[in-house]
This record gives sequence, C-alpha cells and structure tokens, in this order.
Amino acid sequence: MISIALVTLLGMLVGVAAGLLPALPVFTGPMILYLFVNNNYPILHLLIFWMVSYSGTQFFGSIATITTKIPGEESSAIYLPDIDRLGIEEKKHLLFDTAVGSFVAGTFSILLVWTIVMFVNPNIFPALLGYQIQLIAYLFAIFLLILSGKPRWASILLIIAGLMIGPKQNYALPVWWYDLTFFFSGYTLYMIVLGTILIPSLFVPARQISTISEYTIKSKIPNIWIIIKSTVIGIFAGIVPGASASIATTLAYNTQKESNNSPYNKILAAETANNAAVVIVAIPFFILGLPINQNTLLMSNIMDIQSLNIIEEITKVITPLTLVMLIAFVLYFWLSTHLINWYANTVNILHNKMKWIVAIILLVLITADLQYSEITLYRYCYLLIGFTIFGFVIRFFKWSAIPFLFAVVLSDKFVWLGVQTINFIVSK
Amino acid sequence: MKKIIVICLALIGLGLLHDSNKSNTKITVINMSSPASPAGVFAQAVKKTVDGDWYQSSHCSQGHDAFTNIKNSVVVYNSSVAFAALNKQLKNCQIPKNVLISAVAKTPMHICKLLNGTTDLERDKVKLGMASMYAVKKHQDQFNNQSRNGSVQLIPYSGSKTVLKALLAGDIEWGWMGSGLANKNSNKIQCEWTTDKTDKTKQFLGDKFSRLTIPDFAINVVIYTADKKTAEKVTALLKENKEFNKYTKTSGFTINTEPTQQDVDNINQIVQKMYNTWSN
Repeated sequence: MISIALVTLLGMLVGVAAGLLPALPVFTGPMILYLFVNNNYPILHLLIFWMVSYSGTQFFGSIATITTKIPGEESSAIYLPDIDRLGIEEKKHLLFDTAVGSFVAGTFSILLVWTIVMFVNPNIFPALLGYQIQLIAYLFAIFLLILSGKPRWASILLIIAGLMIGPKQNYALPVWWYDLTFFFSGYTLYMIVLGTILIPSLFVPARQISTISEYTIKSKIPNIWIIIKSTVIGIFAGIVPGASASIATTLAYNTQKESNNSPYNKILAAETANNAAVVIVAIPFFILGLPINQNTLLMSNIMDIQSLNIIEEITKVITPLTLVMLIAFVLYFWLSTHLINWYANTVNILHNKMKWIVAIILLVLITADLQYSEITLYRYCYLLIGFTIFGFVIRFFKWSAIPFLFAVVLSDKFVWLGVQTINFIVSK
Repeated sequence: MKKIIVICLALIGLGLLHDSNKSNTKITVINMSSPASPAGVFAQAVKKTVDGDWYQSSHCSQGHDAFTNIKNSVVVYNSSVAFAALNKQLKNCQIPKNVLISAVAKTPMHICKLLNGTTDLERDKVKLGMASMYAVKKHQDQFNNQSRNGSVQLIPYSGSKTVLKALLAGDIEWGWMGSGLANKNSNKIQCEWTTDKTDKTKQFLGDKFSRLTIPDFAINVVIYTADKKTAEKVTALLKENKEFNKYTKTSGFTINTEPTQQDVDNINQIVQKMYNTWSN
C-alpha cells in the first residue's frame, strides 16, 4: 500500500512537472520508467506511474498555457493566439473551469477504460485476438496514420522503414532480412525516440514567455454541456492512432463556437477533450495490445523488455489502477485550482534554463539505456548518431517521426500477422 | 556549438561510467528465444531463481553479443533457435566451446485442439499452428504424406503462447505447444497427441505419422556461462530452489543439473538432425 502511494506521488510529481514545462515531453513518464526497467517492479506499479504521470501532463498543460502563454504540452498550442484575447478575470475563471473539465473527462474516461477491460477482454471474447480482428485493427491504425501524415508518401516511407527494423525473433523471415539486421542490431526504442525526436528538439528556439499576472482562482458553475460534449469528442478521438490528444483538442476547439466574441468556451472544450483522449488511448493497448501513440508505444516497449504481456496481465490490475487514477484526479483537481501563482513563477524561472535541464535528464536516461542495451559504446554511438541524423532529416522536411516510431514498435506483431495471413490464404 | 561540445563531453563521461559499471556481480540471464516459447518461460524461471537481471535478445546472434559484453551472464540456449540460426545462416547461435554448462533441460510438445474441437488431425483438412522455425514446407509434407483424406497446413507463430492464443481465437484447429503450457490450459483445450513416447495418456505422433523424421521432437534448453563461479552458483540455486523445482514439475521440463559433455553432444546432434530434415 505504501509503495503504491509512493509510486502515485512520484507519478504526480512527474506529471505536474511535464505538464507545466514545455521542454519535458508528454511521454516523460514512460521515459523515466526506462531507468527502472531492469528492476522487476510489479506491473501495477509501472502502470500507475505511467497513467498518473501521463494524465497529469495533460491536466497541468493548460495552466502553463493560460498563465504564461507557454504551451505545457503540444496539444495546447492550438489556442495559443486566443490567450491574449482573454481578460484577467476570464483567465481566472478559465483556470477553474478547465480543471473541472479535465477532472470530469479524466474520471469518466478511466471508468470507461475499466468497464471495457472488465467486460470486453480476450478472456471473455478470445476472438479479439483472432488474426482477422487484429489485422483489421492494425491496418486501420496504419491507414489513419498515413491519412493524417503530411505528406502522405513520407508517412508511407517512414512506416516501411520502421517495419524493416522492428521484427524480433521471427524465423519466418527470409535470410536477406537477417543480413540487413547487421546495420541496426542492438538498437533500443529509447535510442530511436532520443535520436528522432528529443535531440533535434533541443535545437528549436524557445518561445517568449508572456507577462505574468497575479492569479486568484475564481470558481463559477462551468458550462456542463460543453464539458460533456468535449468529453465524448475526446473519447472518440482518443482511439485514433497518432497524435490522439492533439486531434481531440483540434476537434473540440473547432466544433465549439465563440460566445460574446470570446474564445473562452473553445479553450474549455479543447482542454476537456484532450484529457479524455489521453486516458482512452489505453483501451486498444489494454485489450488488443495495440499501442497507438508515443506514450503507449513506449509503455508497450517497456512491457516487451520485461517480457510482460499486457493483455494477460491487465484484468488482474485494472481495478486497483482505476481506483488510484480516481484518487489522482481528485488530487490533480485540487492542485490545479491552487498554487497557480507558484506554478506560473516556476515556469517563468525555469523556462529559459529548461533546455539544459532536459539535456541533463536525457544524459541520465542515455546512461540507463546504455547499461540496459548491453552493446559496446562504439556500437551505441554509431546507432544513436545514425538515428539522430535521421531525426534531423525528418525535422528538416517537417515530417512527423510518429509513423516511424509506430511502425518500429508494431512491426513485430504486424509482420507476424502478415506471414500468418499469407499462410491462411494459401491454405484456402 | 557549445551545446554539441557539452553533450559530446558528457557522452564520453557516460561511456567511462558505462565501462566501470560492468564489474557488477549480479547475474544477467540472456534469453535467446522468443518470450512466447517454452524456453523463454524457462529462462524467466531461471532469472527469478537467481534473482538476476534480464536481457531479451532480438535474435540469437545479438544474444551472443550481449553474452560477450556482460560479465556475469548466463545464456538460456534453445535447440530450436539454434536450428533456425543454421537455417538462416546466423552466426554464434550454437553452444560455444569453452563455456561451462550449469544445466540442461527438455520438454516435449503436445498437439492440442479446443475442448469442443471436432476435427481429426489424421483425416481432416486442418490448420496446425507451430513455432516458425519448424513450420516449414518439408515438415508439412511429412505430415501430409501420412494423412489419408486431408492435408495439414502448418501456420507459423512466434511460440507456444501465441499458438495457444490463435487456437482459442479459432484461427487454427490444432496447436503444437510446450507440454507445460498445454497442461496449464487443460480446462480450455484437449491434447490428443504428443511427441513424448513415454506418455501413455496421449497418442505418440510417431505411431500414426510414421514418416515424420523427428516425431519425438523436444525443446532442449542449455544454461551456459563463461565464469566458473557463476556456473556453480546457478547450478546450486537451480538444485535447491523450491520454487524452481515446483516450476519444473508443472512446466513439463525435465532438468539435469549435472550434465556431461555427452549430453551437450546429443543436443548438437539433434540440432544437426533438424537442419538435415527441415532446412530450406
């Protein structure tokens, strides 16, 4: 019990920090878990830390955005230009209302996750793990990734590249594939995230922080209809592969109209929807083993490293996980409606130093990855430099690295499905 | 530029730290098989017994690289993977010379269908799921030469666990899986066939499919290490640990903690026989 409380508190700490500080990505939680991947922590602890930190990032992202005009996480960027149109009184109300919206969306979503895991799991419906359903789910996910990518041909190329390097322990593949593995053997997913996303992001100029006012939270009865509608939008957007939270934010923001020439309701809708989406992404991961965004991709890889099967384990831990999440949401609500000035000042102080703080954190994580990967330092540097060059190329052309990451993690399962499907077709 | 220099210096520092940390005394268990295979589950049990770290290799050559890099490491070798490596021309996947063998173990396979399954392996047209390394055409032909009115189509999977999932999902009619996993799921599946000659509760595959060259197939596991003290420690723990002994009883593995060179030679011969029989 004490260990669960401790893990929850640590997850909350990481979630609040990653939510307030834009340089810390939304997947900071699972990145930190890589440090402990060899320590055989129970799956419940891993999932609690992951989900609590992840939802906290989304919960607190709006505070940094509204108070300092620095988006705490990427999905808040859509309403950045609207911040200047809000008066100080409106901002005070908005801070409270977005906290209510995030709380309602998060609570409802985690209860939905619990219901689906308990009543629509492969133990009850083994056909969920049948190759046809799995193949449709994977193809649908890849189709949506290609559709949302710009340009689409680049997404297709990145997916093919990911599919080439991902398979593991697959002796149904031809000999030439094993020859190809010589070039990338020994890579880790963390190394890929580092090279393709995090290191290139250190070289992006920081945004200018806006003038910070004194805030005292003012509560009023928020527009419940907007919160309910945005929660539903977030739930549907949450199962879309790729940038689920950003899609939820954009959809909810665009479907809400301005009232009295104020973007207030649009921001409330956006901040509610993304909190639902980040919890809902767990559903395909828990019941089909299908990770659909960066966060679930990393978590899936952590499970693979520990040889844990999320589909087999999840029904045993979903109830305590849900209870912890409900408690975490209550605590997040309290924290996000108090200490606002402290958060704003912290963001202000740390913002310009964040790149260095992040660089130090990354180096610590590289050490852990280097320890775990058990390849030579020379090989590690060769692979990391290779992926970093690849990351800069992707950034130069303004492509997204997500299709590549997605394909790397899913390729093992996807290639197996492909091999089996060919055999099933031949057998007919 | 300043950032790049600082990051490079820090990386060099980390490299030095990386090398200095290599002298830890904790045992690392390297699994060269799929986590879904009986040998993968066996490796997990070994890891638990020695309270060690875990290293899951992408393929067996990479497992060998890890073995040379990690000081106190033990490899859980799998004869089926060694055969697949010969077939795919992968290097360093056989039992190395000059290593110390802590134990050898083996488990037979059961061939199972759902409790309400109505197909007959001998007579009907069926899909039989098995691990990818031996779900090959030559093996399939040996099954089909003996089937009278139907044909057996072999479908490749990563290991016994994924075969079981496919069987439960209804993708395949029959599944070839480790005896431990099969016994554990006896409330869902029935195993009419076995590769274990001595098991009188099931039909021995070789009795009816007499043209199968390896009807007595088993997964052979070898636990080896480069360090004498580590070898002795692992052997002692495997002998004494009650949990591990309980595991071997339920998993269908028979374990030998005092292996001779002859035992190792026999396993190498089995691998060669698989290669001669099933290779592309």
